[in-house]
Amino acid sequence: MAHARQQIREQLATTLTGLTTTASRVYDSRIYSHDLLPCLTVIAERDTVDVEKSDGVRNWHDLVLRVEARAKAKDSVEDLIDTICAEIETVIYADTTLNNKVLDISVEDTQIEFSVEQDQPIALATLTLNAAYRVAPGAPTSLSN
Amino acid sequence: MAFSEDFNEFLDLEDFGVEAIISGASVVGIFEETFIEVLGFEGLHPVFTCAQADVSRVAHGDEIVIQTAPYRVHGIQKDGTGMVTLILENQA
Repeated sequence: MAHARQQIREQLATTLTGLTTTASRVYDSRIYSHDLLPCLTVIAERDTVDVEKSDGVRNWHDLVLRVEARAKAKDSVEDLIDTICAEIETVIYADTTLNNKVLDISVEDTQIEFSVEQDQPIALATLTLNAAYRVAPGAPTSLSN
Repeated sequence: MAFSEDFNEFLDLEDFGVEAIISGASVVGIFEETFIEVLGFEGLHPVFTCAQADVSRVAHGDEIVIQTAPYRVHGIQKDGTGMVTLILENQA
């Protein structure tokens, strides 16, 4: 069985698969196809045990996930990246337990960057998501929410 | 004595030169697409270099067709010697 963190990251990628604009172009790793845009990548960035919320039987983890949305378009790439963000936020808040993988998940922050240095304008939106999950100490593969 | 250069010697259709259509007029220059990575995106950076006198009226946003491919002028970089590099956006 995979680490709880990996299970959550994979579930997030599954949840984000099939959105109108990005369809199946969702990657749960840092490697993606640069020829198939727009696309999403899902990364687990930081996983912290909250000692005050842990009780010795179950450790409370605060997990920071990052969703990167990439788009490239000759016109209105700003609108395109905002549309993608709206689709992501809608599906995240439709099930804030990520199919019971986490206690809660929410979008904390969105950073957007643009560039016109390539043959068409590009946009990168980075959404920071905060999630909480619990596992027993020494059993990192068994979610115990 | 003023320095004078015949750019046509560099912009030869039988060598590296290609024909572009800018505002209905034919202009010979050198078209290049180099690899560039920005914000983690792999992509190309297309430019067209020609004599400044041949495109003296070109403006940002103008359309340019190079070998049937449509582009839009995104940047105009004059080099001070009479040559200019047009930074292009692919419109395909």
